[in-house]
Amino acid sequence: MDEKPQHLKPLPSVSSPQPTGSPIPRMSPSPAPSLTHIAPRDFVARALGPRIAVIASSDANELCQTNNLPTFVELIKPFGELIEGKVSARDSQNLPISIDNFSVRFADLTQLEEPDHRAAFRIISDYVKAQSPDLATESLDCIRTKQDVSQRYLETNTDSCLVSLRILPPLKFFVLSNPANLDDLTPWYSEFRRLLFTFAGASEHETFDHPVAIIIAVSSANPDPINTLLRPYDPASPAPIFDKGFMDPNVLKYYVLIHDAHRTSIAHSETLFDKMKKTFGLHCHLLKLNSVMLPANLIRTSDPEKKTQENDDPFSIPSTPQAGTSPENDTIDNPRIRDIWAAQMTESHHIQSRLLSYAEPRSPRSSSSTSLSSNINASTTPFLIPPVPIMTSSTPTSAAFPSPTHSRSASASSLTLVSTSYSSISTILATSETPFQTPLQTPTTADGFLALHDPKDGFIEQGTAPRPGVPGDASAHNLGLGLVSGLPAPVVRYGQYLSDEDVEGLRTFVKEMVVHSVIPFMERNIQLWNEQVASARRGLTGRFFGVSRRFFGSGNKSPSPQSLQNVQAWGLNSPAGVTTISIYPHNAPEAQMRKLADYAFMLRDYRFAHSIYDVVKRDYYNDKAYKYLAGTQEMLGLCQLMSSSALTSKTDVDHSFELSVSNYLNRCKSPFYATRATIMYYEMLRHRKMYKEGPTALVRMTGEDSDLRSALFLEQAAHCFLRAPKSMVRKYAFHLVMAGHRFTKCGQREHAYRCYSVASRVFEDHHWSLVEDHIHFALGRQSYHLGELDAAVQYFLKLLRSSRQSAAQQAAYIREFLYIYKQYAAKQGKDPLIDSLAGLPIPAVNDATVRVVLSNAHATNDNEEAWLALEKELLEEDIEAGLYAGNRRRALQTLKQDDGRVLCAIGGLRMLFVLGHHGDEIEPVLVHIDVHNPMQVPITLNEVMLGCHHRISTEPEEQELPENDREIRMPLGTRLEAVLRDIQDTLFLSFGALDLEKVGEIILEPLQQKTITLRLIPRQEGSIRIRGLHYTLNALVHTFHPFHKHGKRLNDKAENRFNRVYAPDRSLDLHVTSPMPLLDVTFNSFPEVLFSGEVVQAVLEINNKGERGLTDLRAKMSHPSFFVIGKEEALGKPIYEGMANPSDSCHADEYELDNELFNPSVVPVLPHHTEDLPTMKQHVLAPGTTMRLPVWVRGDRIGKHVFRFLFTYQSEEDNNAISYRTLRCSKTTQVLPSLKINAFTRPSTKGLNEFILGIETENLQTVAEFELSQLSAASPSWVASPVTLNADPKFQDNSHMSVVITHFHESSEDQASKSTIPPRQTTFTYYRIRKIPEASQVGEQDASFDKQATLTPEQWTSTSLERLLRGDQSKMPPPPKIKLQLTNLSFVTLSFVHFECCNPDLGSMLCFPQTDDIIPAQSTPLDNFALTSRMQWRSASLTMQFPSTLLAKRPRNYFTLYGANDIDLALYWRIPNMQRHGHHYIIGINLAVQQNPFQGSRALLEATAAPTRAMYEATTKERAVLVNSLTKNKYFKDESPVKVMVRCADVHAFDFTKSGLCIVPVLISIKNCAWNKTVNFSLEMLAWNNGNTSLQTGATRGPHYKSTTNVFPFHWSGATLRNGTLVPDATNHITVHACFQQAGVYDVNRWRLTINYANEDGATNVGAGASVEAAKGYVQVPNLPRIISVVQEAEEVPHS
Amino acid sequence: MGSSFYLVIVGSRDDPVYEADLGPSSKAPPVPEGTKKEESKHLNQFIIHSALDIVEEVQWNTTATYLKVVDKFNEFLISAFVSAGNTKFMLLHDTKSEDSIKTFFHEVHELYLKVLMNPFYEVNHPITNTHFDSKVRLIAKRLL
Repeated sequence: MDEKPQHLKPLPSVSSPQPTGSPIPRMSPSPAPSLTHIAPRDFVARALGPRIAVIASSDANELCQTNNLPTFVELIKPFGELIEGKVSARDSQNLPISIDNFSVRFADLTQLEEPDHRAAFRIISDYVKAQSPDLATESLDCIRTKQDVSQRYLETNTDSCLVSLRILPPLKFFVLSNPANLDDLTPWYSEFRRLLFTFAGASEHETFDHPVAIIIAVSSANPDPINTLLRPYDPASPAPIFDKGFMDPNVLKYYVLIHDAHRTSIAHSETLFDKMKKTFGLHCHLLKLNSVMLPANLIRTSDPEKKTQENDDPFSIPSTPQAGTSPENDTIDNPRIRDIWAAQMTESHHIQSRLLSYAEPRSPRSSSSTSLSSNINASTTPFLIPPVPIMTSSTPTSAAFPSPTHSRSASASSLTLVSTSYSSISTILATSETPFQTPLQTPTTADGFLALHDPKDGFIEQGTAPRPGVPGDASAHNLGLGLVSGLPAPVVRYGQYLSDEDVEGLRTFVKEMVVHSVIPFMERNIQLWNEQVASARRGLTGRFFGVSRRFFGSGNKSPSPQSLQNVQAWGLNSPAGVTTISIYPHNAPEAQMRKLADYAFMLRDYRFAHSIYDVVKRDYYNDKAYKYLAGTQEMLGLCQLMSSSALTSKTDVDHSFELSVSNYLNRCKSPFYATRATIMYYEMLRHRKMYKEGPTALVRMTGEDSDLRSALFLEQAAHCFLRAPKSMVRKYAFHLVMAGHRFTKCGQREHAYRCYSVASRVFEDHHWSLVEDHIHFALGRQSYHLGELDAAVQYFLKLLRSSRQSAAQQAAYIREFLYIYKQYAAKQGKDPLIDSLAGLPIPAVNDATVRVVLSNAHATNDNEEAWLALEKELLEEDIEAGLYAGNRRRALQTLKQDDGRVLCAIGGLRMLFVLGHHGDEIEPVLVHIDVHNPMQVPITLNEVMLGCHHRISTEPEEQELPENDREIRMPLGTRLEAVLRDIQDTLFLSFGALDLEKVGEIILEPLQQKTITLRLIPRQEGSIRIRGLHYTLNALVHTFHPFHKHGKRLNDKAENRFNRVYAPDRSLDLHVTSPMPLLDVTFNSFPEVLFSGEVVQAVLEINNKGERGLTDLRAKMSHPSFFVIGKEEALGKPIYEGMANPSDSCHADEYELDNELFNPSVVPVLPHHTEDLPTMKQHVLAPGTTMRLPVWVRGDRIGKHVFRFLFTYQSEEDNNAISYRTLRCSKTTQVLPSLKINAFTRPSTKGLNEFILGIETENLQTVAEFELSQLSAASPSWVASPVTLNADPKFQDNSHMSVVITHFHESSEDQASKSTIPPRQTTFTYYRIRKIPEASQVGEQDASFDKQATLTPEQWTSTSLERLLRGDQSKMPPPPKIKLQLTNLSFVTLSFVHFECCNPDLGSMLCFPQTDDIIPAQSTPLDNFALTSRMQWRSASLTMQFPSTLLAKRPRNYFTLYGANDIDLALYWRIPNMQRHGHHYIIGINLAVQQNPFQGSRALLEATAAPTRAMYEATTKERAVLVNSLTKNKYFKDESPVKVMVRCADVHAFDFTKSGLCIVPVLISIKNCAWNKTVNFSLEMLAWNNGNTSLQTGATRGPHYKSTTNVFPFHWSGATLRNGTLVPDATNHITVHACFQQAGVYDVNRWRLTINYANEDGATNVGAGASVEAAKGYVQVPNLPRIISVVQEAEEVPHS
Repeated sequence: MGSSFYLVIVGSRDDPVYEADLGPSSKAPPVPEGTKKEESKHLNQFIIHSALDIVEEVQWNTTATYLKVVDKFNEFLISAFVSAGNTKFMLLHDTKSEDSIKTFFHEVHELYLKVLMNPFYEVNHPITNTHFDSKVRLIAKRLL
């Protein structure tokens, strides 16, 4: 076997885990001196260097064995590797070539043949597996993009190069200064490459492995050296290789005499040598060895048995080296000398033994158990002394051979076992049929020891197969011994008797032989063949010769007419099914040509070699000798690459290699040579830095036949892509992945893992989903198989996501993940159900939407804005109203509540005992979590529970807790016996400070989104941080998902704006406070449909479910005018039940009222409980109690309404965290139209400042018949009365003057018809409105400017406005209370109408009122309805009048609820047959003189309006708007405050015949109706106007109305101009006299009144008026005729 | 025609923006062995991804946006098209038809531009637009 020199040191490998089945010691690549640092070109030259066969006599071998080297070949092998100094040769032109680094390869003559390539590949596989990928992975980890390639990647390798330089002084010549030495990165590849060439053997198609020379060596101790030297050519034992005919036996023979200083004297040797020279000529050498003297006691230790055996078999491998452990053995241990052989020996024995075992393809594979048992047997055989591990860990050769199949821990102990027995163990290997095993017997020496290797690995399995004839156990045992006996013990001293001189002598011997014998011999041959064979071919004739030989078939001159011969296929490498192969005999010209070229190549004459190859190629092609052809093509390419000149054509070279490889593969079925060619090609490409071409060449050889090779080549290709002029990182990654795939297929798991993980860096973060899945899956599996379960779990976690994988694939992922996780947990000693696995990506939890909902909040998410608006209004209202003024702390807390935390109270402890019955009475906090299953397979979540952290402090958590998610375990609380029944599978666990709900199972369908709701019951005050979610996936993997939620993005600082900074989120931080009341509200018999105006009583049930008393319950309503919430005792009280009022039905009631504007939307339900009033206990709703309150609902507006009630309440105890709680409630009702009411007023003609009110009522219903029951009027100063003759006897005498009265002839039918409105009918009713005398009195008092008296509302408003304009900030006293006069006018004043529809069941509530029953308009619900309606109207009208001013925003400060002259009407009705009743309001009738609300000084207004400088422009603008709204408001037209009434008799009879002129007195009453202004008037009576005569009865309003009634003129007599002054509310009566000439109808309403406002002193004051018009004064003319009929009558009609 | 196509639009940061398996046209029977298809799906991504290296090399040697066949892997061919924004359109196919692929690329590019004009679309983010998807498939059916 031809060994190339190696310097491989096995290193201890116990530390790192081993892949299964690999007994190869771990080779750490960087410190290992190996061929890896030889330049590629040199490598090729060496691999194809001359081979020299060696035959040594047995005594020569024995001599070597004393040096622990089995044969002479082994002894000289290292020296052939490198011949120091330059060697010169001559080329074909006889020019000298100087050759650096010349080397020869020594091989035993018997081992020249090719080894079994399949076995070789398996050995290589083992070796590759042993290479640790650690270093490379590190340095490649950083490569992710193109930019990463250049610096670090290359630098890393320079470093490692330097490392090897330092370690390897002898080899430094070979270390290239190539900065990026690929071999350092991929030592397994260089190992592969080196081993592949180690297995070179003689093949027919090339001569590189044919011996150039044969060394015949004999020891000087040999009794007959000359004959022994001649013996190799004995016909009895020729080397079988020469039989085949393709190998030329005629080679140089070189005779060596070895002087054994132990045995013979130097003189003896020299005489022998002289004799040799005489016999054999020049090619002889005397080699002196064993100069170190043998210790005396060891001289004769060999036992005779050994001797005989060895003599019999000269080719045996005496592989039992001398142990250096024996105490007597005190030879000098020279490590330098020892190292020359150490690595090579170790490996050569490995390879030998493996080759042997693998090379038995037909032996049945024994199961591992068999081998195991046999091993056990082996270790218990009596041959073995109990094993003593003797190596020390410090020695590099203490190669461990762990057996990784069964247990890793055991591998440490099952190391190399050395038997120190001196007993002679003579074990003869059973000879096997294969020729290779024949020489592999195990000779033993008496003093030898056995290094025993516990053979549990794969190759032993084969080797231990039972063989025929040999008992299984014995054979296994023997083989085991035989195999391992070749292993050197760690302390074997190779060359222990060799001195430095001896080593030098060996070196000289090899050099001399090469320089003086081998090279000249080759040169001679080259010349010879060149002249004899090649020149004949080279010329034109030669070519023709070749052609003619083919075509003309005359084999005349050829030395061997039958050049190509078919011979029996032999050897181990012939492809299956091939029985014959074609060879050229060695003397055929084609073979000689090839040999010539090969010799030239060996002597580095590449150009010449190329020309020869080129010539001979044609012959091979023509002969269809494909293996020859392929070899030649390979060499052609190689020659071009090897020659120092520049490459002519890259494609040429590539083409020749491509042809070569495809020929090797397809035609010759010889992947070994194809691989070899590719490697050499690739090496040369590297040498020439043609990395771009590398992948093409390498990928060509990635067929299916060898996964290992493909994987290695793919990996090399990947690295080539990195080194290409433009690095291609993606290609690199892709090829790595492919390599990883192939590594997986051939079981090289570590390499597969490495490839995938390095490649994964490139694919990271690029969202190539399928690629990522593939890589993660591969990595997960590999790490699992490598035992790194942690990593495997992590990789599988990455697969659990939404992807484009099919459902089946995802299911497989999950299954595998669960399986691996189970194992992982078992290994880690974790309970997968309790210890959580961090980062489980399924299901996807949406952290941002995790929300906490208190159970008392209604989970109505619709119209959240509306609710929030309500809440905000309420809060503002409260603060403004100073509700918190007395309790500042509380107010602050109310404001502070907005810190984003959730406040909740301790859940009811008390309720625990009754949980079973009142399951919902505890107060849990609900946490809603949105989860999503991204997978296409259903998943189950089990044991779902919140992860919470409780703190005593109530402050918000500032710092996030350190997230040690990995440590989090499933918390185990005590199980509560009381179980909520509403959800199956639910139980609560108690953790002291809180109880948590645990849901047994939640199933998520594929791609399903679901909201999980979990409950939490706080039990102690403090804070609870909801940190995450515990769940167990598929009942197997428990995990904890922490919630990472951030608050809103901060935007306040510049740095916050530049980065994304978020406020800490506090929405999951619960603030647990002391127990609180908990309100629950239900509405009973709430109407769904209402008529407009209808009033229905509903019942509001308030229930305190909390722990503390509930107080200060208020309701904020969205529709305040619809509701009145009454007192508890008012429940069931009829609304419209009249009280038996003894007084007159139209009696005006009087009551006082706060005249302040108020917010009707907030209604106190339960008044606030204060400590000061212990008697107010009834305002506290005790825990667990329920209160029923009446709620009256009135259909105020038509339409469909959603009523929102926001209840707020407080605890009876001060809770410093929660000031109040709220509850939301909403109801829906539709309001249908019922009555349409129009009201109008006009001045009454009957009196000054009296009005007639007309009400038009239309029934909009189609079926219902309405019955009007009562009209109520409420006003501070006005009362209403029916316009009837009977009803108002006061005006009876005047009734005939009224036009209206004609309608009012009272009768019972009339009454009925007026009060009943059939469907779709309209009715009119009329009332008179007049001022209350008392009120007038008051007004008069006011008019006297009695400031001490109560202010009228108008005064108050004016004053407050003035203050506003002045900028007076002081607080205005609230407006004075106002006294309202209530007039209730029943429609049915007489008792003749009775209704039978009274339902006794309903009690009196719906009972039709008795005749003299009146509806008490000031009773509970009605007064509130009236107020709220009034308030609503008032605020609406104010908003309309003063849009977008301060006044509209805060009307309360400037306006009153009622003006002095407001009158509100309420019309009560019922539908008897439907038993419905209700009322409508007519609001907003103001009978006062229209005036601007501001009556202050005009100068003030102007001053305010004038543009002033203000700090803010907005302030100025706002003021302008304000003033504008006061001065130029279209809603306020000042009109004259003075009212005039002309009164005279309607008919005046006068006897014109008696006296000529009829003089009639006309009373003119002038009244100043203003409340604050004194006016000066001047009344001018106008004369007859003979204008148009057409009679116009219609009232044409306007100041220029001219009466055209008068046909005949009439005149005023007396003074026609009167002046006067009127104080407010003063009346002046002036009597003028009209003078008529003849009978007729006259309009006496002819006057003109000019009015000016007066100062207090009565002088006309222009500047005092509020408006320009007022300043000018008013001119009034009559707008209605006042008709007087003057009749000619004798009879006097008395004037009234 | 039984050949299938695989289109990937790769953003300038190497992320796939859009992927479509433009299988054989409806005339051809669906591939019976689903497993084979599944297996090759990730391989397709690998091939396209590694071809990006070649695209990066080729795109600077020409002024054209259509780079023709840039790479091949076993029997697969990879055609590429580079937009002005360095978005790469990669098509994996197994039959040669330069012209139709060229028009295909141009039309898909046009569609892509429309997607880009959407103010809500961010460059280099996955295109989830179903309209785009169906349009691409339509073009593929018509041209490939």
